[in-house]
Amino acid sequence: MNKDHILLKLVLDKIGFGNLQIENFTARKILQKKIYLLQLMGIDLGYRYNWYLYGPYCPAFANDTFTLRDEIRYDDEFNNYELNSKTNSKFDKLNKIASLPDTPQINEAEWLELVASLHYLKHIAYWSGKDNPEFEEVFQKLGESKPHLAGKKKLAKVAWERLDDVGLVRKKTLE
Amino acid sequence: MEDKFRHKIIIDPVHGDIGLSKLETELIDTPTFQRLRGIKQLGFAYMVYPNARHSRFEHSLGVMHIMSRILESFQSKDKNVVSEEDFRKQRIAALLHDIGHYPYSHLMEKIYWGSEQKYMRKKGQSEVEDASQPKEYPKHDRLGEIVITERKDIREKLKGNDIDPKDIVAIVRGEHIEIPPLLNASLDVDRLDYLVRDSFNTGLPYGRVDLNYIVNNLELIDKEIVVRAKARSSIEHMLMGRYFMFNTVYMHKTVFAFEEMIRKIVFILWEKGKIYKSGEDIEKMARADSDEFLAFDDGYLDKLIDKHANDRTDKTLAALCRAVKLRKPPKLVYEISELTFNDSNPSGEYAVLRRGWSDKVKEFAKDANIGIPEDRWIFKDIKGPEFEKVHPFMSLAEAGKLYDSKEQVLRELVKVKKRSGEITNLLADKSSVLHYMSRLKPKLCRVYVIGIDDTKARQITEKIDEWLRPSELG
Repeated sequence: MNKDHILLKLVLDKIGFGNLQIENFTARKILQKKIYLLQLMGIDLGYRYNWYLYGPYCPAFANDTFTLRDEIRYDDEFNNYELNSKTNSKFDKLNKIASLPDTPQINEAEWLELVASLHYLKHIAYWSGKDNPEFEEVFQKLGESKPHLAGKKKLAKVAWERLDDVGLVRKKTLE
Repeated sequence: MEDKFRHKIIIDPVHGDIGLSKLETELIDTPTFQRLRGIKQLGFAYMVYPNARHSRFEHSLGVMHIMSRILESFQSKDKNVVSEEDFRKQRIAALLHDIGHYPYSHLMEKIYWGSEQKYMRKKGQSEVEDASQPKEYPKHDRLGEIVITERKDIREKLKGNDIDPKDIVAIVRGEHIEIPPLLNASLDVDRLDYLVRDSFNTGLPYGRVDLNYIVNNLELIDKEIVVRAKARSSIEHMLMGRYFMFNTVYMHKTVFAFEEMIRKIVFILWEKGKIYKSGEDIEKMARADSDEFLAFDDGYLDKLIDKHANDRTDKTLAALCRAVKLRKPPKLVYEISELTFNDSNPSGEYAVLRRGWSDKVKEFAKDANIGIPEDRWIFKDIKGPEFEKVHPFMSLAEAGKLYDSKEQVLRELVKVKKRSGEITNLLADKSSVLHYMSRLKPKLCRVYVIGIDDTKARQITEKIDEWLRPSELG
């Protein structure tokens, strides 16, 4: 098994997707966004996300999950490895932004989409005239691209504050 | 073609006349763009297909040309679907999409850095302090971003014509939220050119697709490329052709062998500090307004290979470099090639080879009859080409119905517009051969050895056979 696939498997184990049970859209969406956010914490898995139409989304990561699902059926080399303590500590920061706020107005998949999208629009996405936008402009762009999130401004503000608390409004990544 | 795109005409053997605007002509004339003449599109494929020496230069022109044809096709149905400004930017993005490529395309970019070791360890081993490791080489699209936004000749041409270089980069990278991502779509312009161009230059027929018919039957609906049902056969042909081109060119056993040898050479050169040590050095070199980046093409590696072919201080490096110069690729001693359905298990042999190789190679190295050191073996589990990118967890019926969903993975599938106006994913159509082929997954495992003759190769093949298929051999 390639070492990068071993690492991916260990990371997926840590975030609860180790058996790659991603038979439904919601699970796939959660996984895509969690990996996006995890990379911001300083675990660089090499996946570059694009906006495409409803991003952030990484086709290469989607492909790797398909391949890995296959591989773990006949290769268990990953059992000989574990994440080191420094890496393990980064998941705590992920949980600070990824954990669902206590409200029925949003589910986990939508929450992660909200957080990831705000970050992506702030730091990576491009539009004409973009110049270090703040929350209002970012949220406006979010609403234009994703109408299903346009009515969730209060929650978006919570997401923005969580990103800010860990330093991801000032900076694109933590490392 | 509009007059503004006829400032200059370049004759291309694949597409015929390619028209250029004044700005595009000026961009092509920059030293930075001219560098692409020195980067072969197919890397070492010319070792098998002698005429496969076409470069990223003409490929970039071809992609721009196809982009333009597709946008014209969209506009012929709805003039407002693409603004003139976006048309202009899409052409330039297509022209510059490969500007950051490394020597021999992807070979140098993908040195094995072992960066995952920063994050994990073998069980039972103690934690080690982070050894400072040089920054990885940037991917070619990141290098392209630096070139477009920071290299003076490209940057100033764009800005001097009221184009923000960041706009172009965002289009190339699929990060622009206002302009549709046609460079990386399900029917992307990059693929449409390279298939036809690679076919032409290798002499193989598989990529000779009906480009005109495909382009004339494309529409832009909801920011996505959709093909009309009457061009379905042409699309199927293209997807099948891509599969055959992969098998006969991109993953040809000898082409692949040379590429693996080059990767070893590049890694040794990197370890010895003979090539750029860190990604920071590469980025600095790309930014600087100097000729160093202009010399960073295939010739950069060719000269190093020439130089080290007689390297008395490193016999391994010298042997590898001489093998490239004298066209002595590693010998393929074993191959398992299978096509299985998505949810089927691979064969027992495949599983045993994959799982057991790292121990077996040590055995072979010590075996008195074989005795070839580990560093002369190459084992590769190769991800083969799929006919269509199908999510293995979905049924075809599901994938067909979910066109309207926002599921990103489905956006990568080829979409067909029926006469009724209904849009569906191609693979959901049971009358399409892709419906069946898309569930097949190719598996390919190869074992090569460097620097042996045919007799030794046969001996090794027998040994591996004995290991993997003892009951058949009795």
